[in-house]
Amino acid sequence: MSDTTTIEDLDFPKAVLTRVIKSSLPENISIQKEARHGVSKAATVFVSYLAATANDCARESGHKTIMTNDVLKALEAVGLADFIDRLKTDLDAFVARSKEKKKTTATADEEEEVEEEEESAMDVDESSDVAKRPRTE
Amino acid sequence: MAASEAPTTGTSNLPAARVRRIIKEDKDIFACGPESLFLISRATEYFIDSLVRESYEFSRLDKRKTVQYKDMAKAVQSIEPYDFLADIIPPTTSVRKPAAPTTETPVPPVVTLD
Repeated sequence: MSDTTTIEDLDFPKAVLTRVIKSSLPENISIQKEARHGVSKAATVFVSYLAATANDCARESGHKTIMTNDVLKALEAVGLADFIDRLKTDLDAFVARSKEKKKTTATADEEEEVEEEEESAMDVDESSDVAKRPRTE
Repeated sequence: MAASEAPTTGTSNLPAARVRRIIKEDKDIFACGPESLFLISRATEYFIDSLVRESYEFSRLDKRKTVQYKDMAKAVQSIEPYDFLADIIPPTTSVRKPAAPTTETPVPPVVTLD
């Protein structure tokens, strides 16, 4: 950690926090600036706190990288087990989304391969006076 | 829609880069997988939601339509899982009290008029 940066200097963007805060309050309720500031600090400290606790769980389980189970165990350890069910649903959605992304990339790669195979097949079948196309990457 | 009610999209409202940066500040942490980063991010949203709602309860008790810092300080004091925030959101002290330092509780950084 540098001497000039502390955990509390790493705030989340104000617009993001305002959105999250507003969605937790009824429409007609406002929040004082100092309270918003408190939420900002609390959010950053919470990330640090949860990550550190999850890290302890990881070490206890004998691995160095924080895995999803470590995060869930950490929430139990800090008295926030209420979040666990929702987070499991969130995680499923996240994993599904990641798989979708990978599939799109894989499909694009597959299509490229099929195109290349078709091209090389044409080169073999057609007569030699057809100029051979350079192979694409 | 509250963070806790939003349809599950597998995305977080908090920027991943910032969450990662905060985690990286901890030199004891070796590595954190992307799924774990995402979970920590979502958990933080649920936490903010929880903190704000609990604070609002105190505003309501006081019949106010504005959530004030002192409501949040009360929430932190009264809810055990929020103990880790005791130094971050300490209770305020009344300006009317004598300025002489006491050996009891340290003067908190935020001072407001009651």
